[in-house]
Amino acid sequence: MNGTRSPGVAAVAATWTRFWFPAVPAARFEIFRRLVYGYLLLDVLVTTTWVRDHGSHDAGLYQPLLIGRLLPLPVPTDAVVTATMWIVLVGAVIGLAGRSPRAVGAITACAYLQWMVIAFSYGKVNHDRFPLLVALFAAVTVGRTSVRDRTPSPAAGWALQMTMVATVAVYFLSVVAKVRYGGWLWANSATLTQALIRRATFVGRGLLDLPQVVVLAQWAAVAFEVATPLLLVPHRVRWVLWGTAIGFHVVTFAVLSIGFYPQLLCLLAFLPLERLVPVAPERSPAQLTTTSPRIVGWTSQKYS
Amino acid sequence: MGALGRGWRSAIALVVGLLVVVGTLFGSDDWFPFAPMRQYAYAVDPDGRVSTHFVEGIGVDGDRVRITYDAIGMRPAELEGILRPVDTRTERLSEVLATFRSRRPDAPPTVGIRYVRRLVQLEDRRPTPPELVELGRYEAPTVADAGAAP
Repeated sequence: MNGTRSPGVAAVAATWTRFWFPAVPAARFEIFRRLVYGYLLLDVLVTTTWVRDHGSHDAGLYQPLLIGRLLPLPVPTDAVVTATMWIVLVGAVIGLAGRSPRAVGAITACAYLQWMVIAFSYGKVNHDRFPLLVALFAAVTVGRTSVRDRTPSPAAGWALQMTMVATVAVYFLSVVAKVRYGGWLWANSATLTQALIRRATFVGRGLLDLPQVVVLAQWAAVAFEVATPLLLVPHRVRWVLWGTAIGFHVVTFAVLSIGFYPQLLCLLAFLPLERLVPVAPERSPAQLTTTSPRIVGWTSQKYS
Repeated sequence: MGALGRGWRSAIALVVGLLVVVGTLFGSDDWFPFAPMRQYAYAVDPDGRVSTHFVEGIGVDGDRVRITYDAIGMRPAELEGILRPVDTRTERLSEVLATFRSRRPDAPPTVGIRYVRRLVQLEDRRPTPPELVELGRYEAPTVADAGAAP
């Protein structure tokens, strides 16, 4: 079949394959997957506990999203919310242990999606959950592997790439949304001033006296968001963008107490996470040159 | 990975990508998880007005009963979203009050609830002192109906 392709088509196909199916170490994905499940525990129990409150709302306040109307999801009573929460929590714990990643991963991903439908069916939708949901569903496509398995895996590469593209999409498409809702000169508006009036921290309140700095910050944010596709380019510049992204979130948190935690989590998918866990000596002695056997022994529990 | 594996993964990537792009260009919040990335996407006039909203209970003697977001288990933007449509506002307010009473049974008795806008006029991006405007109100016919009496 390749023989009938024109060189142009073949080149596009090769670029597509290189982009979507990079053969990354399986461990990189597996470590990220465990981090995702660890985050789910944090998310449900610590950072977004208000979702649980929705079970105590009067049922009339529930305004199901399109997905909630298309799928036969129950009205979030206390029992429904509690059951959903436990499925997510138990799934995350099993996921953390690396057990049955496909079956448990699928159940956990669906339960977390329902958790999000519960979260956002009361008049307010956040957009930082998109990459997390993509990561959870993409993770289902990768079978059991180990946090020490350095075997190159295009399947792991695809799951990570989906997460990375979704992460970049949140930044880039938020510029598109600014043009759609705020116009081309959104950055000259007083949107950040409004946010500061509504929810500034003690650090942010000082900015209300510096309106020109606020405008500059808006232009800087737009410039960063427009540049984020460079995060996907295999070049040193991606790390500049990565550092800027972290800086952007730190400043947003310091000034407005807005923490885009799922987005921060998904930024970890860009890193060579496999370096966090040394390779087991019996699997790949060649890669052990810089790691002492005693430290390897420290993480020698069996994952598969 | 074979051609089949690459094929369905490519198809998923295309469909998800298309949905999220179309969602941001033409969709609404209702499309979640493919909703437009529209948090903070609206442009605010540097000489315009910034409003925040809150609800407060109406006490038996007409005094104000503080209702925090925590007490109703909602976030500010959620409350605004729910109370935005004028035609259903009174009904929603009655539900917010019911939620407050069930979550805070020990709070001072209330005979109603009001929805208030706190308006801050901007002058060349600088805030001026706020002004309060009542946007809606729901009053339970009696204290007993309001669930305050034993």
